[in-house]
Amino acid sequence: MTNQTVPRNTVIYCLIGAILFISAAPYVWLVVTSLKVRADIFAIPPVWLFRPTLDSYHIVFIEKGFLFTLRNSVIVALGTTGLSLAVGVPAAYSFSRYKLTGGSSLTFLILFTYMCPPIVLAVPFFVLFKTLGLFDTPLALIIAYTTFNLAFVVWIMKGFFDEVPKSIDQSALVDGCTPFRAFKDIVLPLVAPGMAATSIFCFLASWNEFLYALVLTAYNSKTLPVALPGLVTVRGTFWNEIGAVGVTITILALIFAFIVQKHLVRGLTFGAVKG
Amino acid sequence: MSGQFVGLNNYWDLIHDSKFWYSAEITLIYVVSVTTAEIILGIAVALLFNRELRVRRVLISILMIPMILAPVVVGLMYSFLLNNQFGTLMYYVKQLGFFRETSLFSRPLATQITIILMDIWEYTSFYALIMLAGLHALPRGPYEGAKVDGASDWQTFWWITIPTLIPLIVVATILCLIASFKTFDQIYILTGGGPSSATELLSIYAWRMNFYYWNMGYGAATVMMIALITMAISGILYFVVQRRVRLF
Repeated sequence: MTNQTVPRNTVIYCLIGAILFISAAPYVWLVVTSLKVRADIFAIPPVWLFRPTLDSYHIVFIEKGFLFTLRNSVIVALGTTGLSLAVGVPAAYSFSRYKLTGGSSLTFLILFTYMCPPIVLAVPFFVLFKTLGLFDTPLALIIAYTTFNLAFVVWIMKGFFDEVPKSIDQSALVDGCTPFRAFKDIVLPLVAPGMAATSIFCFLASWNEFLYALVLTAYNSKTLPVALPGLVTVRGTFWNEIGAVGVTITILALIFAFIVQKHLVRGLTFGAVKG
Repeated sequence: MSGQFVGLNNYWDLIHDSKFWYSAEITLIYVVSVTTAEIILGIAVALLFNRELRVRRVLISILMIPMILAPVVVGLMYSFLLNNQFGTLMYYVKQLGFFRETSLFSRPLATQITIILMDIWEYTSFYALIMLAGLHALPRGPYEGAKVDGASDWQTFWWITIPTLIPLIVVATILCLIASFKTFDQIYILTGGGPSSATELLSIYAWRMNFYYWNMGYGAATVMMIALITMAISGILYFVVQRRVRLF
């Protein structure tokens, strides 16, 4: 029995190691590329030993103006998160506590809004924002991103509110609280951790979003994901610069994901699976 | 915006457009192969990681890297790794004797397989995490019973683990269908739908009709088709989640 178990465990640990290697290697390679100088990135066979430098970060953010793009990304992501939470959290509370007419078709519509591929809404949004003169402004992106993020906030926060016993706000009401105060001072602090995780998900969804930004921006409000492919040019592509922007986009996402790891499955399955 | 009312003409054109049907066909192949592979591999990876491991949290974080990366970055990363002249990965693939004469992205079948593999690389860990959450919640009792009765590992897996995971597998499958049907960024960056239209999934086809040919009437009809398909799949998801609530 023991003779069998030892090689079996070895096989399992080798497999785990191989899976982790496959998952991490391309990204590690991207980070390494961002630290190379131009000459090294095109070396064949690939160079694995070199003197790391932060040159490409300097070139791309200072000389090529990506600092402005970074600013756009931050404005849009924060704006969307704020707007979605401000509207979505009270809405989720009422979905959780009150019986609404047409409740189940409303919840289905919310699910559909979230699941809908962005290309579907990008077409009407494009026409709408052109007409309203909002095309290529951060506000246009904030409105577009709020569609799916609002649906997300309502759905996920409803789940968190449902976990707070109704007797808590009922006793607050009996003690003479107004319904709004019961929501604001009693229930909201209880769901604060869930709300923090939700806002991180909102931020990341807007931070990584590509298609709406591709369609709804031209120059002034480009965000990092949509400006990044612009570094691929016919006159030559400096992959170390792409690596530098790529690492900037992803490092924040990885840190946030690490923080919300506990809620990750729940958030990314739209609450269908409680991780 | 001016225009003439054309009734259902755009839809009529759409269903008689062989390019649309070709795009629908490769989307179907893409969605089905990606979903099958990711769910099966996801269960396998979850079983591997479902044990006492040192620094488990760190290992899971490493496993999660691909699904957290922005899809645009994934697309760009692979377009450089697989670049015909300078790609690091392509260099080693060529050492093995492949793609020496024609480049990868000029071959339709090879490109189609590449985008499927890229999606598997990117999202398998996500379905593995879902399955891990399920495995954690499984009751110990049946396993101890099976051990006493002398069931083999395979029998325990097939007759206890899989049946109890079924609700989770159903939800994960539907989520995977929707997610892979939505895929746009990575493929747009990596292949742009090419070579010719070998990787032009419906989302890319719709983008091209609207924002490349600027044929927005026809494009809107395409987009409506996509919306209807999504609505049908999310209807199924809604039904499943509502009916089997609190199973998870």
